[in-house]
Amino acid sequence: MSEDIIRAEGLTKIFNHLVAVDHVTFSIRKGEIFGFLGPNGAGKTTTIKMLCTLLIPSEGKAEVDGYDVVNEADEVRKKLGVVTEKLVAYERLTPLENLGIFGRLYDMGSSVIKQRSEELLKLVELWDFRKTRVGNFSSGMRQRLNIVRALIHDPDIIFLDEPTIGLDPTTAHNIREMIKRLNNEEKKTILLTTHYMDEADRLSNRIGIIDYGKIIALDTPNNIKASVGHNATLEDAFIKLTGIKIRDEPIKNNHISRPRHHFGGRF
Amino acid sequence: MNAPKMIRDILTVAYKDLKEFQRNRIGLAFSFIFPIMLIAMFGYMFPSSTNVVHDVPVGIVNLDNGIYGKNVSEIIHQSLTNSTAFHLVNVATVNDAKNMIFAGTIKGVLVIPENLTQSLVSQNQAKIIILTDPTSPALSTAVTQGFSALIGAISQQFAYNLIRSGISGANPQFILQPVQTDVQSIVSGGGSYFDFVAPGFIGMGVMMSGLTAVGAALAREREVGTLDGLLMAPISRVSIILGKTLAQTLRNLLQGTIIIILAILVFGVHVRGNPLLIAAILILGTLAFLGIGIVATSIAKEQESAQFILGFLQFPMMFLSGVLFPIEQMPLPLQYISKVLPLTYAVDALRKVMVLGASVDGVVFQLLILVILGVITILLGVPLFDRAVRK
Repeated sequence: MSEDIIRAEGLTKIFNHLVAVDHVTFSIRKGEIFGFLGPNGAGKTTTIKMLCTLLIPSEGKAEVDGYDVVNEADEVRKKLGVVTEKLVAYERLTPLENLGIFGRLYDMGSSVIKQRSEELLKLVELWDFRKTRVGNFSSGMRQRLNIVRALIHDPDIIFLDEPTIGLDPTTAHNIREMIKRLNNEEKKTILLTTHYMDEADRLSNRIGIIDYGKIIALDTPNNIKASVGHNATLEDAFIKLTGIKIRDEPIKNNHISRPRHHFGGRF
Repeated sequence: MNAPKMIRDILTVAYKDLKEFQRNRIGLAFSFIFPIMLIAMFGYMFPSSTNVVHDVPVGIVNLDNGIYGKNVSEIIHQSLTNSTAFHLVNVATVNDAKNMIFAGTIKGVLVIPENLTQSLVSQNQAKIIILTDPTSPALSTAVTQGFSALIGAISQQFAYNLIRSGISGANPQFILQPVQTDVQSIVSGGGSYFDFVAPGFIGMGVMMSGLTAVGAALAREREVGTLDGLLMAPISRVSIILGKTLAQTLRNLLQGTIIIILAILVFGVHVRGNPLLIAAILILGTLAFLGIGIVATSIAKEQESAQFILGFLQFPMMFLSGVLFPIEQMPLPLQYISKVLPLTYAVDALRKVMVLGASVDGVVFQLLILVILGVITILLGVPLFDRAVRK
């Protein structure tokens, strides 16, 4: 059995007395793709934000490759590459300029940045657009650049927050292939959140389902499906576990729309 | 966090911001066009006209030991005792008076020359000098008009007495106007309204871009999502803030320099002070306003709220800090408010250096205010920003 590379113990986040993540305990093994699923506002993004040092936990602790997310935040940041739903690249700059800036922030030398940028941009077929301003990119190109930006410093662990949302089937397919390649060939550990159950089923070694801030299932996709019934899909299992009530993304400080006084964040 | 790494991070963030600024052609163009347009608009709209003034401090220097010097001084004192427009202070020498004008403690001075009695007794026209402060043409005009009216009345009364006494053989010009006024500026070349508004608008530009640039940029980056990229990188929050501050300071310095050059070439604005001192005021002003902007943005939850807070801070400063018209022309309660607005000190310092050619000594108080404000707000802003993004 592989060693754990991410560990969360009793991880909790409370915003203004409202519990977004409620004493969550789980671990992610080195080299696996961990599907982190949950309805809107269940606490996925808040959990990821705590793991990547963007939020300070209210209670509990978490470690990334042995480093504490609060006390050793800089070490944690060096280990992680985070792909958010939003574009984390400057629109007035070109892909090369964006990668250059982020590479320097990760203490990479100019020649390494140049070489790595070329490799990555060729990998996602953006090399021909390396001198085009990002503002002119389509949503698919932006998301590919988003992934490349997160990989510039060659992190061991990659967080992918809904990486295929809003993309056409071909681009989404290419990104899924890329995720597989990063995991199989470069041995990256990947935490993947997605609302596409089929995507999670096909890519993940293990899946954790979070709802109302608590982990309600944590197993392999096959075991989770089997726990619901013969021939059940992951979507069947997800609905069985989380219920059929439609969840709206809760509004901060709005008591009416917050189910059970829990709410989540979003990158 | 080691120092070389921190410096590299600050430079990287600053480079990124400047590169984005350089690519924003429209924003770049308007950051120069807007202040020039304001200088032109207000320079032509409000030439050196006189308006009602309140409680303007003026001085009187009596160098004449004779009877007429004493008389003129007493009449001026009596006339201004109950004045709401001016309050008069005695000053010993012309040099003291000039220093007080440089320091801003008086806005003009009436100088009774040492030969006043002698000239009048020997039936020669006498000249009383009015020294004015060219940093404010409107106030300068008000002081000149006020003193000229008083001297004119004194001169008329003297002429009336001469005629009544049946004087003969005197120079007719002396009989018609025994006492003249000679209006002088304390620096050569005087001052136009453009000289007055140019430092005001340069200061206002520093204030507006300082308040909004880093604060709004952080709020925008937070809303767009790019701030997460910086926050997830192994760099300190201080590096992010200082990198953005450095970029904005360089922008303001460039902007201020280009505006001053254009103001000199297009509007004939006089710049008498040391360019390095002007640059120092621009830098300190930028830091002070950046700090305020960072604090305001960190308190706000999203960009829109931040803009409301920044607008609330900007508008009083635009109108109450002496940008468009002298503070002394405002009602007293508003004059007190102006004293707590940082832009008042930035504009005052710029005006003193640009128009009067003041040295560091002449603006040390204003510089100190800007330094203290910058240090306090930036020190306060960094943890507030950190708390805002991680809470």
